[in-house]
Amino acid sequence: MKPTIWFLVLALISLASAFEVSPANPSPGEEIFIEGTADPNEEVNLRSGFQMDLPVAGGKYEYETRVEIPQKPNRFTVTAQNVKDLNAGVKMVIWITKRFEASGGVATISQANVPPGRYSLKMSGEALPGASVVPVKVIAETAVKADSSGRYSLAIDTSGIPAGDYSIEGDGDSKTVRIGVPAKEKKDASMESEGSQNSKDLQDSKDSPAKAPEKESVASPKGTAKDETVSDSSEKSSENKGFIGGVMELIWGR
Amino acid sequence: MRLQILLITLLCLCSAVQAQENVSVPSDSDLTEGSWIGLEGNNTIQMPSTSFVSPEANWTYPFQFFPIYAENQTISGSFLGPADLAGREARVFISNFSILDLLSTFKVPDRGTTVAGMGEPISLNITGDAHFALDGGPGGLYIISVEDSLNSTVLATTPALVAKGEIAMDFSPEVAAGDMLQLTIETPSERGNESKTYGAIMISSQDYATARLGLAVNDTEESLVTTIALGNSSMQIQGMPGISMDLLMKILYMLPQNSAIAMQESAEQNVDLYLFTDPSWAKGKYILTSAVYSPKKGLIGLRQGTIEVV
Repeated sequence: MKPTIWFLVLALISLASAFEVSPANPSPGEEIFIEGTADPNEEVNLRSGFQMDLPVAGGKYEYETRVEIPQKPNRFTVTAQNVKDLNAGVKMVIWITKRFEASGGVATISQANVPPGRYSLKMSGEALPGASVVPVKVIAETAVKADSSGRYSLAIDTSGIPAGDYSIEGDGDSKTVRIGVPAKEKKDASMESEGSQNSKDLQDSKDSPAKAPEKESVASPKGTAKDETVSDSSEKSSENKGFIGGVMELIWGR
Repeated sequence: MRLQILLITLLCLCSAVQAQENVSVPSDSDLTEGSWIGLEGNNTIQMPSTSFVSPEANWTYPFQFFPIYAENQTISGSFLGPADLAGREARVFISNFSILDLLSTFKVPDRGTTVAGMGEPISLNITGDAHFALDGGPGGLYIISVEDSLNSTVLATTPALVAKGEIAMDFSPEVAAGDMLQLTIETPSERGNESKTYGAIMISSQDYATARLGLAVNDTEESLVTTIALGNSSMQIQGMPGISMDLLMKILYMLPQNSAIAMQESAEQNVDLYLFTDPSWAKGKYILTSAVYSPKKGLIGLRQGTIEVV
């Protein structure tokens, strides 16, 4: 096969797995839209995340936020470093808290298939002696099914994601958007398309950690499938029994 | 069984039940006329108001507190019988718990499950009462029954809960609404390093006092209707109650918003739990209940205390 043909094949493969993200530099609270193409009816796994540094005061750290969980399948992982423990609380009618002990200064919570809805969350705990900040990494994974023509889309609510880099990976592609960059910087900032070799950004990146935002933040993708909706967990309805059950599973495990 | 299910089970089942056979059952909670077993102990939990309705009876259990025993701890209490039993001999039995025995309150508990031989003889005094003390046993849920020695009539029964040991709670006597409460739970020392589930629930004393448990039954298990109520919320379960996540969810929805739950899985002997409160919480006394459960060993301990939200 001639080199030209090889190039075309590779280009087509690249096109088939690429996705675009807009806007490149959203303001906090602005929605990010991901649009891409894959094989018809293919399920595309997408992984997004951010880091932030929580200040340590009196040996303790604390963070409060609100998150919106997209439809299943999903997985959320929160990792805190420089800590002795991590207390994660979810408010669903009442506060339900679960404590995780750290191993080697790292505490991790990971849960799949969290029921969709909007949650109030609190994280708190004791930092390791001498630690001034607690780096926290939040990763959200979900899957989007492409339609019959191979197109898929995903909307991410950034209203609570702290200012800084927000990475998105999927299907061999990786992009980083910068949230909350001032208008002047926005002009120069550009969305990076770094290819799959940069996917380690979500695994161990330590550059540009965001500062912890003020209370009332939301940090997760939503409405990933075109015909899916996100339920409102604040209502006490029978439909929410599944939601509550899922939250209980999230907190208590199976 | 998981801890949370166990706690709900306790709420549902730690209702002392009077059993009667060929003995008239009072239509009220008059201690002087009824046949009751009152257990004694240092570690007690507050009982919800428990009522029982059947074609033969309609009464409310009169005791507010229910003791939690540790393994091999003496189980003591009093049988409070009607005056017409004065001077009679009776026997106190301890049997393995059976939901059928509990709900079939007019039948003699299955003697095949009796764990204390022929029973402890007691002499009823001039008011029909007697004190008793039974040797403790391994952890588990039991039924204490008092029978008339003459005709084996069951005079009264009550469940008894024996945990593996006693747990200790350490927490500030008060917490500001909106602050986080740190609760330290200490379990008895033990060999091995197995993981246990530590859990705690905090609910206002005012709301806790409104908890009610009702059991209504005709002749069959299928006719049983269990009512669990808290404040203005209530739910009913038709038939034999099945312990399920769905039931737990329903009960969870009944909890007032100024409640909190915390838990942790740990192999440690001492564990800190953190309960979140909100600034909107009503000030006053709250009931704090904690339990430790081991998948291998069962209930390690259960303890209750009070805290002031200021």
